[in-house]
Amino acid sequence: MGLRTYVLRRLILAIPVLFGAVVLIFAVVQFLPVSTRVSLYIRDPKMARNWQQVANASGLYAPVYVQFYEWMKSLLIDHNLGIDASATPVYDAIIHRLPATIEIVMYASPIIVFIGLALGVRAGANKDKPIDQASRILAILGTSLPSFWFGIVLLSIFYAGLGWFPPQRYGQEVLSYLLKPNSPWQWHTGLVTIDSLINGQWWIFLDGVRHLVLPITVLSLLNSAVMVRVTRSSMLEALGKDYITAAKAKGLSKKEVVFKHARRNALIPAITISGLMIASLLTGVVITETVFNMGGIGQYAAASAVLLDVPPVIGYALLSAVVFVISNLIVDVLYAYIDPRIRLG
Amino acid sequence: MTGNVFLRIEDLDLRFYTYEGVVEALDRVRLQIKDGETIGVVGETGCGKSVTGFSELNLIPPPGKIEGGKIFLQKNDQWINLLRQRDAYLRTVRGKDISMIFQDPKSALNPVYTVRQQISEAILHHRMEDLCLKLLEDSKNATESLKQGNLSEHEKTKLRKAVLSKRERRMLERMIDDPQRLIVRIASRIPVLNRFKHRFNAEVTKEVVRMLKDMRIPDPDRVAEMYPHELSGGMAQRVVVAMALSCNPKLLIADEPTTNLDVTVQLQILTLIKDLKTKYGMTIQYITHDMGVVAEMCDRVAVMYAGNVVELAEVLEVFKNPLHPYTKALLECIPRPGTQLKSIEGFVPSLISPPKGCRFNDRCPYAMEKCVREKPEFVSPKKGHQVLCHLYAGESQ
Amino acid sequence: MVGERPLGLTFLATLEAILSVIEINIGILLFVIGNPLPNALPGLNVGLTGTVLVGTGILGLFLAYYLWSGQAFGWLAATGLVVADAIVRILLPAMFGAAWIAYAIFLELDLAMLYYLTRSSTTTFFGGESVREVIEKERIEMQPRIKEIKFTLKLVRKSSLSIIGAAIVLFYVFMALFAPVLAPPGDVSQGGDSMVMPHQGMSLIPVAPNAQHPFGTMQGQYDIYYGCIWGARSALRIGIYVAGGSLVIGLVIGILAAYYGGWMDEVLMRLTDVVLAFPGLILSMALIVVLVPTGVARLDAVMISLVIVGWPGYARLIRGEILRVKNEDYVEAAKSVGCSDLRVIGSHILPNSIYPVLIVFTLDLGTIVLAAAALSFLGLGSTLGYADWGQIISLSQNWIYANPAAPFAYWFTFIIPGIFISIFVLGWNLLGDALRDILDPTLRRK
Repeated sequence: MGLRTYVLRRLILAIPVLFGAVVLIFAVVQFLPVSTRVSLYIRDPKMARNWQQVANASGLYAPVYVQFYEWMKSLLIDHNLGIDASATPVYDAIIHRLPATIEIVMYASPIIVFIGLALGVRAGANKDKPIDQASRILAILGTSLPSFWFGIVLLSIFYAGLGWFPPQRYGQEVLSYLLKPNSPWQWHTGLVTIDSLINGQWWIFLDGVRHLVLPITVLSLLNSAVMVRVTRSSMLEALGKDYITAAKAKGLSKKEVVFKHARRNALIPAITISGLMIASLLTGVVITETVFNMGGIGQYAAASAVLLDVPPVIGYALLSAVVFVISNLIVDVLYAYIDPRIRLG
Repeated sequence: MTGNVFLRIEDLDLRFYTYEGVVEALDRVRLQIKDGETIGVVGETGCGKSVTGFSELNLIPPPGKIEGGKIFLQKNDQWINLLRQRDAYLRTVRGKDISMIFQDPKSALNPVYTVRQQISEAILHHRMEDLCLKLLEDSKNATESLKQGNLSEHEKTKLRKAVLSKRERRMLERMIDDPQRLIVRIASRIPVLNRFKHRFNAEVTKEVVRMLKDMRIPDPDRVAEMYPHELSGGMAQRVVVAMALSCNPKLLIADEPTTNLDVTVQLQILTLIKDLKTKYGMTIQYITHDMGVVAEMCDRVAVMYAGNVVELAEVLEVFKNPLHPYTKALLECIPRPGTQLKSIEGFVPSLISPPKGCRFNDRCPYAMEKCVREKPEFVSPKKGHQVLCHLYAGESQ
Repeated sequence: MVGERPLGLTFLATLEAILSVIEINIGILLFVIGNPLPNALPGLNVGLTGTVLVGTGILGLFLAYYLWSGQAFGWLAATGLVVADAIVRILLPAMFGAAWIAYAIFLELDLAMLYYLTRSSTTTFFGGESVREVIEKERIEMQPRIKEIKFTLKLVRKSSLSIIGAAIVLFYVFMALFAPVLAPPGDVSQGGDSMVMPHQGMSLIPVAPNAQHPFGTMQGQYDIYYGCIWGARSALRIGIYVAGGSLVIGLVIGILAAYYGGWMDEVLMRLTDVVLAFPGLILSMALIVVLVPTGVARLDAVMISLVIVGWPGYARLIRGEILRVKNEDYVEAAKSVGCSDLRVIGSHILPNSIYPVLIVFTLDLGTIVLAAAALSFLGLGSTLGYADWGQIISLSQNWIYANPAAPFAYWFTFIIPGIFISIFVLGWNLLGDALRDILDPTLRRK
């Protein structure tokens, strides 16, 4: 099939799915009365007062397809996700909270992938030996422990008990420093760890790391369990193949056989799982951020949901869908690139 | 090609420990392989002919375990029991002294690596020293020739290419010494310093292409860069053969290499193997269930049944004068136009609880009371013709 | 028995099928409309009655299927099913005091059939053979199957993890069944719902475990012990309803897609893709946020949203398996010897494609409880005071680092319910894993 055709095909398939997702959200929202729905179209607090007007203007009393068209227009052209219960435009609120989420996810992902692959490969190669038993224990714990409970337990031990790793993003001192009127602090990326290095403030960097340890641990540990499990089983499958015996017959050592031959074949299915990892992360941050009060978009969505505040939840759902579909697309392409059977047709 | 025995399997016992019970896969198997011959190992599915081959490389996967016996290989005028060696030593034997080719060529090749990568793996493993020495030798010769002058520009350019710088020579020497040395590994990855590695790899690729050409694969340069799934069955099998022969082994174990191929391709591969044998001077252990192939390819043949070698003799002798009842029955079963199809009555015994005496006794038309009680011993009623049967007891020559 | 269908058997099978369908419909009706006779039967536990009716209806349909098809499995399985049927119908209602009088009617018919089947050794309905003779023949035919089952049981016994998993699950099931005994509802302040945890006093501070409250109380003086025990019930209920609902919907859609192929397949699969484009929990959050304002009860919204999020997984799975099995050689072989389509589907395709679904179902019973607990934790689950593990942990958040001097003073508010959840999910995970190892034909014989 060739790589290019494959990528094109995947792209073409992804677009209707994305469109369908948006339609689904729209359909779901239709169940709400107009007075609630209109908050999705309001761009600033002033408009909230004459919501009837906004409703008419946005065609909320018009037939369904008109509504959909209006909504898509407001969504794509105006970046309008509505306003939340505290009269902040959702779009702005999300942008404001995005760095917190990104910071957690960007450190957790490589840890998950690394632990998952490394442990999975070794577990598969040494079936029933101690490292395999350890990986199975990790896998079972990871899928049985509720992440929020795990977070709470860790908090009680490492914060309430030992005081090492506090929740939230900043400690008291850092916060006052950042909010000082004439603070020399400059935000560049919005990420505490990066920006503190750019600003040359080591103590802020350490503080940031301290605050990140627990959320990242919770997120990584539980997600890498799945990764380990999948890698292990695909490793076992690869090791049962004939080319492994052929390689041994060539005189290769066990290490070479495992790491050169089996591993590459085992990684292929494992990589497809990374796509699902993204979904798991998007979900995981909702809970983790809430437990540790990190102020990210996940917590925002969760807190809004409890209040039955619709726009932020919808906004987060849309965002998640887009991220998920795109990352799956990327994973598919990666998969096609790595497996020569697909790359060369 | 001396014709002397260089591999001896004595009293090999192999058991598989499964959920259903212990499978006695091989029972006191005996075999001798002579230098330069093609010996066939023939029998039905499940008789143990394949696992005998695997035992010689000590590649029996769990839950199998070799429970007894010896496999002697003559190396450097010494007899070494392969079953008692450590894995590190066996790895020098596998691929170098004894090589194996398999039944399904496509699955014997790793789908994510190219042909070149897989063949060079074998070469790198066993012939690294040779190739480094060759490179150094070539360099020396080229330098000598260049000094003499009287050469055309064209020749001079060619020779200059073979010349290695002092640094490169030193790295190659270090590689010969110990390829895993840190400095070798580091230098291999740094762009300018790794030119010696490039030279080396080019030499290896040359070897690979040469092997592919020997296998009569057309356009070997292109094929070398292909992936296994792009090859046809016959092509893939040639690649596997190339892989096996890349280090010039003394013994090639061929485990039903043509069973999965089309009949026309089968003939090509068989002819190829025959020609390669002469060219490379190897000994071949040809495992098959096809008596026709045995007649075509082999000098001697070992007939196996239910985990025993029941008869061992030269091919012509076996066809003309089969001694063991099973061999006789087998030969009668070969379809002949104009005569009725015959088969052997009964079924192969279950190897989980094999019969106490001779394993063929329930189907043997000549079975005696002794056959049920006692296991037969090897006897040689004629010179060079061994048989495992009570009928010939006491007739050893 | 293929090809011969004795008259009496057909009659029985038809009767059984009709009864079962009636039962299933009554069960579904009860789910939909709730207690139909609140005055006459005030204590009627609608959910449970409905579940039992649907469950026994399904058992009855299986029974009818075996009786009709006259499979080798037929007689012994048929009697086994009738027995299981009867046990379920007696035990469950008796446990929960629901109006089990109605069941007696259906039960009588089943018992009558059982009696008829096993007693008539003299009637020559069955092509000249008596029932006893037929049973004997069936037993011989079934030998290989019995051997397989015995082998499966041996594998089960060998794998210690599967035993632990099964033990854990049974432990929770018993805890749920005997909840009224273990933690008596006693004086329920909220008219009739035993699922609400009792609370005496309104003090917000959790109280440590003592004689009166074995696990302590949490914020608002809710008894944690009560919550944990009855929490098993809500957990099992959520798990079974949601997993069952997803399973049924997913199977229907998946089988339709695989069976018809073509554009039906494309459409249904795009639909699945669209739902799967959202991470599960997030879509369910969005659904809850929309459903609750429109009047759906909180807990029901959670269950509905989880079902909507869950069915695509099953649909994809069964469709993939059916397509894979359809192309296997043994299906062609079956067709070529003249097996009817129904037989091919029933005997060859379904049994081979159903295993992964069963495994996922078992694992889901744990995963769904985790998801529901997470939603409860976030505040989207049950109303305050409902016996739900996630809620208990959610309310414990304020007390983790409340007292700097004694950081673990309120450990019981989250450690205990957390252990309950974790072990519950662990049990299902172990069971599912063991099932996977046992049922996968390629892994069985090593």
